[in-house]
Amino acid sequence: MSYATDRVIADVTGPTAMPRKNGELVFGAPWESRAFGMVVALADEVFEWAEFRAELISEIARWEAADDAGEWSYYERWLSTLEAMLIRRGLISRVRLRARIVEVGDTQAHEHVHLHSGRKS
Amino acid sequence: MLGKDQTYLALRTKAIESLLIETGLITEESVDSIVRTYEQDIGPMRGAEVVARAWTDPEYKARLLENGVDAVNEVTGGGIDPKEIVVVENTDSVHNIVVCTLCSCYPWDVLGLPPSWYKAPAYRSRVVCEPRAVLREFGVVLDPKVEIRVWDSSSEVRYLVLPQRPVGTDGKSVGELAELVCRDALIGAGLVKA
Amino acid sequence: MSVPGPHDVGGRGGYGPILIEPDDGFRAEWERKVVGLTYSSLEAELFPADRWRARQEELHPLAYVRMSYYERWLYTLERNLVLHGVLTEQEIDVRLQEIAGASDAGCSSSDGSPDGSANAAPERLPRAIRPPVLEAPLPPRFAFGDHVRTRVIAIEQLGDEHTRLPHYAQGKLGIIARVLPVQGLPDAVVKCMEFRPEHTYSVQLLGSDLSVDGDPNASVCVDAWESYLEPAE
Repeated sequence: MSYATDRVIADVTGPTAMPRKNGELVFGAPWESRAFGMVVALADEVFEWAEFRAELISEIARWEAADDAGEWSYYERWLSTLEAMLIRRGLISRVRLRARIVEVGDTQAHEHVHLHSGRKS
Repeated sequence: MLGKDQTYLALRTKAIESLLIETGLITEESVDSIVRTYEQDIGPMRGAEVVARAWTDPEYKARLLENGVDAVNEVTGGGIDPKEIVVVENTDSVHNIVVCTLCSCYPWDVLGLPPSWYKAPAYRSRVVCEPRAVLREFGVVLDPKVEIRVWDSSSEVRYLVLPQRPVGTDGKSVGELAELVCRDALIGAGLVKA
Repeated sequence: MSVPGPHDVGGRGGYGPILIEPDDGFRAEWERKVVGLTYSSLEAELFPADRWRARQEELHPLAYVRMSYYERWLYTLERNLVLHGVLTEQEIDVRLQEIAGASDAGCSSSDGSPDGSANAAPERLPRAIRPPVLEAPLPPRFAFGDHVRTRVIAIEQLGDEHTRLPHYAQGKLGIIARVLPVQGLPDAVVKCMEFRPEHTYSVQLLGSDLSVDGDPNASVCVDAWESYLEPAE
């Protein structure tokens, strides 16, 4: 497993290079860190890192060409790539994914309340 | 700590701090003063002073190469942790560079806080197998005949590089010479320029 | 050889160019605090420095790279405080909730933390008492210029076991470049909380297999405890 990690983080140049600062990977929010972790955990087990990388390049190009592309977020592209790959391989279904997103959204809002002094943020 | 946001990390740190202070095992003052010392009071200037003195005082230089801790304490007025400091001298034929491949051990007492690149895996992994290429990335291009020695600080011993005095600095005072010495040169990742 | 831990990066490829940037120093106040708490704890001998280093090495490689440098410091600080019976995870969780001002004190804020039953304070471990004067029982086995071979040291359980002989330096021929002071063997402190003073040495490793480009004019000198070394023919 350590070798998959090494291979992934060795990607330091080009459009798929992960954001870094002072030599470390940077995650703007915890979900980005989890998205990174998911892909590395799956690399070699479910798909090849090289395949994911190639898909990520296409996804980034697609985003750049889109009219309604919002603000750039590296890990949003990462997550989109992961979703697409898992759906294409039949490992998750689009419908179940949508339902789960709604569920998780509710749970997280609940957790957020507890941590921030009872005020909804 | 994995996947937690900055707010959580700050809260967890505060929780630990407040509990430790309550146990009476540490004080808030000790927590803050230690970092303040390394951030403000100790910078690479300590190392620079040591180097400038070695350049101008051959007997001091001999003492420095023989017993780093005692000689450094002469300049800093004492207070260096009794960990051993070994000073390695750059010459026309040998260039030294220091690393800690296993974590980020660094001569804090003499140089203050370490630079980020020193702590990151790129430097730590590569300097022990391609030091010449690494030095080039720092802008240090050495003649292929110059021997490179990489010191991996795997024990409590801390290594300090004594860089070569640049040509054209005759007549400069110790203070002026100290100002020329940059932190990277004390690690071996840079040269001192006149 | 056992698989190197996530910390043991010497000689491993794939990390790309060195990013030389203007230093950020501390990015947040909590990072500064973590450093202060760590040094204060070490000074108060709440746990030994060797175990502070070793605990980080138990991190899964994926966790290791996802955590920032000071997040790892916070991780090992907390793990060591808990393992050495200074604090419990439960009281840290509770205090965190109190500080956050949450009304429901029973709510745990850390995903996947062990339930309360696992948080009974462990037996307070004896501290490794470092003697005031470090003396090894015998004179140094090696001298400047001696030819030695570094051992291969198998770590069965990272975090619980520890060595300071990097992977790239194991099973290699070398020459004693310097005799260093007597130091306590970290492997023994971590594994059994024993202070074992040994002579230490700087060993200049030989062999171009260390150098990617086979540079005959470059060498690595690594610090080694006497028990890491054997005489070479």
